[in-house]
Amino acid sequence: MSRRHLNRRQLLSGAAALGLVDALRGGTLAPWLVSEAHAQTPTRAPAAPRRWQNWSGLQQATPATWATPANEAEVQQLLRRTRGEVRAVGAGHSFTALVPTDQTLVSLDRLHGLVAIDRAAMTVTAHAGTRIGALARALDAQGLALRNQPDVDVQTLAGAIATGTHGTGATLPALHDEVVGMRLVRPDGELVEIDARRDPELLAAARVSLGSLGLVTRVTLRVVPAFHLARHVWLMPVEQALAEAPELAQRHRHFEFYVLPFTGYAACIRHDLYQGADLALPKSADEDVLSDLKQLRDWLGRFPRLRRWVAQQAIDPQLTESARHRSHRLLSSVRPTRFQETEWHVPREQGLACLRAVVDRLEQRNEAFFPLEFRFVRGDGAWLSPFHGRDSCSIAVHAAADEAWAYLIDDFTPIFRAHQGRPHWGKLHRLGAADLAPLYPRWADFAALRQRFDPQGRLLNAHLRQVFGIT
Amino acid sequence: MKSWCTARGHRSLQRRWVAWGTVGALAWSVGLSGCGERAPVPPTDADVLAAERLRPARPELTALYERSCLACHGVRSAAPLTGHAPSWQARLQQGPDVLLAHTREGLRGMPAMGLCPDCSDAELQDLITFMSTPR
Repeated sequence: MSRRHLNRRQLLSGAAALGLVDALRGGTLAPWLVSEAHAQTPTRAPAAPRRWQNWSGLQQATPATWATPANEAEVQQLLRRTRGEVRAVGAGHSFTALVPTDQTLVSLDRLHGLVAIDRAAMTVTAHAGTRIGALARALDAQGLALRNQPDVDVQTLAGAIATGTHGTGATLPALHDEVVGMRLVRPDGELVEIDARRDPELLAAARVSLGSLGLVTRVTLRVVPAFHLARHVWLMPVEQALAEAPELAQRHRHFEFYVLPFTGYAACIRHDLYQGADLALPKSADEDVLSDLKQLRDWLGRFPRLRRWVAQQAIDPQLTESARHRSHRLLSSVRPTRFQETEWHVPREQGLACLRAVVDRLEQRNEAFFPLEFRFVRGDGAWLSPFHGRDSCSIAVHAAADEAWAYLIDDFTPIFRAHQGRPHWGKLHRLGAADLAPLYPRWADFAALRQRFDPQGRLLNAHLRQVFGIT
Repeated sequence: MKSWCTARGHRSLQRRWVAWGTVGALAWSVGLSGCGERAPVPPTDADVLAAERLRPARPELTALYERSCLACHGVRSAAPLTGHAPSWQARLQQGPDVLLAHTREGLRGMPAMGLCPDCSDAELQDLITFMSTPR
């Protein structure tokens, strides 16, 4: 049987991941916000209200003001001169309603680029609106790299850390754990500089804040020397993948797998450090896999046993895919197919049992076809990190953006909660403060800090009021 | 996985399915995934790495490109690759107004405004021209 090349994680992650932000026309830097330095630049923003929507299209809003400040001083002016609700937007890849506001929306897109590199400390400081992919490329040019990257890299630095965005790797933490310092502007316009050595508690709170403490303007994070990875993608029967997953996660720098529903197979992906010179960056087959799984669903969705049998006949378990290149070119990808997603993080020891229950439930829905993603993330200490105090497994379930998605919440929330799951802050869930507080040992501490930083609740929209239990 | 574009292209499977009308017929013909050649001429590794280095001539446009477009158009992805003529051919045939409208409003994986909420129409048009010009 000939070995064909498959493509990596893409298998979908639906990944997408994630995304972007959608801004529809025009920024809205009000004239009074334009600094002298930028006054000569072309008008950066039409004034008419325009609609915002997230990458998946689920969340929308028409803010009265859409500001695109060009520097920290403009962020301060904005917060001092405006009244009412303010929300920051990054790439718009959150599926939850973290962004929507009908008042002031602030895009940090113009706060972009590297500020400083400290090679002795192996840290870099970047403007908070810098996209992860752009940061990775800038670091690469300096012989540096992020230790790990999330599946999608168009997210802004501020947005990614505020939501606990993560990649995979049993010994690798989420991106926010690499943060050793940041600057944020409180709702009253005061600039706050937070440093891990001077105030580790405050930084532990600010690392994952859902944008509720202030507008982050700069982030300092740890980096590593640039490195190459070798990716290998292969297929295994689901039961075998479940049996071998713990060992594979231990053996490889990055390991994850996707359960392909109604096929009996899982696509496994591993990345390991690579020293060779024969680099290759083949086109991903993810979108083709996704299309084929959808087609199989469209044809045989009503006949799950037949669907599985056909898949078993069709799938060539010898199929593999490989790539070898710089880490930033392999760890993240662009997701052209839009989807809705829920993802929960469960204690490492409960991961596989939870996954079994999720797969069983998913395969009771004949309409499902998106691969189900299973990843490993090391625990950390950020107060609102979903990985707080525990090594975790992440389980993500997707649905096509133009199909029914409510079952992602209704069907799976009870399963994840039964396994002590914590929802990804940016992915679909309906938990409120009463559900969340018992899951986070520092919940009350964060609530007190949030009240101190934003006593008027200017950074809270309807979704965050539900999350924090504020009426 | 065996690709179901193996022999006759992706769409041929459906014809076979309908024509044969039997489950058994699928046993050798179906394949999931792996095809990967829906674009007429996919970019090579060299194309991708070259595109990563391309920048507009105007510094202000370069700044917009680097923080917005490059994330998807300057890397290996499903988005048309900067400077790669085959990726843009069919799109250019739709005309500049359509391309601009798709950029403003979004299309499939393309976010509205292409991750540049503060871009003017003129800047978007210049960025499209830069990306779609063959190198």
